[in-house]
Amino acid sequence: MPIADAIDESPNESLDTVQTLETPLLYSKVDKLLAAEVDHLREILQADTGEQLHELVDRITEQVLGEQLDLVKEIFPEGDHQLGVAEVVRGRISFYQANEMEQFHELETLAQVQLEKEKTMAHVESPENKGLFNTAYEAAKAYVKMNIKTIGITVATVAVIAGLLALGWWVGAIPKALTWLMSHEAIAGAMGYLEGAMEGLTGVGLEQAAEKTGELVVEGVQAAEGLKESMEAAGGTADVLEGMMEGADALSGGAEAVQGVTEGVDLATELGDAAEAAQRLGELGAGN
Amino acid sequence: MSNVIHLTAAERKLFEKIDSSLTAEWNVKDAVITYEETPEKRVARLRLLKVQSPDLRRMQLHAMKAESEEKLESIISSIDVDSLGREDFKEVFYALGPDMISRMLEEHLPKSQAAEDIEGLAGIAMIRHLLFGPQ
Repeated sequence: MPIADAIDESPNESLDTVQTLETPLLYSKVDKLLAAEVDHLREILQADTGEQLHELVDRITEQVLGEQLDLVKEIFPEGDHQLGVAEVVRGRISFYQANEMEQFHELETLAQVQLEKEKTMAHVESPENKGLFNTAYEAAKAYVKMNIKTIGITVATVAVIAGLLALGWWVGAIPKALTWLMSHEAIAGAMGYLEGAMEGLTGVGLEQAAEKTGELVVEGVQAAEGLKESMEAAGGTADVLEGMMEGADALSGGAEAVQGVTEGVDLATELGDAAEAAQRLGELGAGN
Repeated sequence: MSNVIHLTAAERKLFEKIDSSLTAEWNVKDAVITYEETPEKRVARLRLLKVQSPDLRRMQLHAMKAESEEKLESIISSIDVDSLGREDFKEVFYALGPDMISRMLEEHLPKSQAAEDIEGLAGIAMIRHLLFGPQ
């Protein structure tokens, strides 16, 4: 498959595509990449500032590309992977730029929200608003305490669940917990919000991001496989070239042989001349 | 606390139904929410929530190890609101977002029976105004 075709193919294929490659080594490598990607996202979420978040996204994007290159190198194990690597790098960069991968779009949203949050927190802490917030906080906190079974539970649940996510809790387990929370009539209405949020989380969360990475890997593998096929197809041409090179070597050897003969002739001529001269010397000596 | 309460049109209607002896001294202002909420941003806010309270962080770790829903319920129910400091409170309400806070107000305004209730809800409305209003 030509590499351009491989890159242009839709990324919306499942991870099953990887299995069709029937390459256990690659498959295990893909598994490692998926696990690494989840780690990357966790690392990104540790950012304290929007600027730091942007830096992390940039660095990890490069790192992910590097890991994909390692995968490509395994497809070209005989040392002839340089062309493949270069092509896949070019293809992957184009792919990121042209398709605005959802995974990175999500990170951009995260970065945007972080920047908004910083701006909002600065607004709240400004001299004209700080006092207002302090008073509001005391009144609201007292109300939350008085209504611990309703608003209190909601606030605590948000704090706990968000904390669990940050700590890498299994995303799929959270909706289950919310099912329980929804069964409490007093907080059912409030929990509707959280349920929606969690649906979003399961939709665009770590698992989804990991799956996206899998699709990226599939793309990269397909591109590399396509390139390998192209290179194999070019193998016949290479054989002809090799034959031509051997022919050229033979011609070169022939030329050297001819030159050797010429030199031999020259030498023989010189030797002949020398012999003749010696003979002349001998005759002269005999004459003496 | 100043006697200003920022309410949406729907909340104002609920407020007007409360016993006037509780509401008479309050100056109702229109709540202007300029924040553009989206499902993606809601998720991002939850992900970016960072709490500082050592008790709450310890509780999160316990919740992580909860082996049953009952255990999780027990852990969440035992949270002491006092462990939520000023910064944590700000973080949690920012993570909740304007829609969730509005739902809280709509649910609780009709239940107001004391001056402390109105004061508390006015506090929550002020937090919404500061976090999600014009900046």
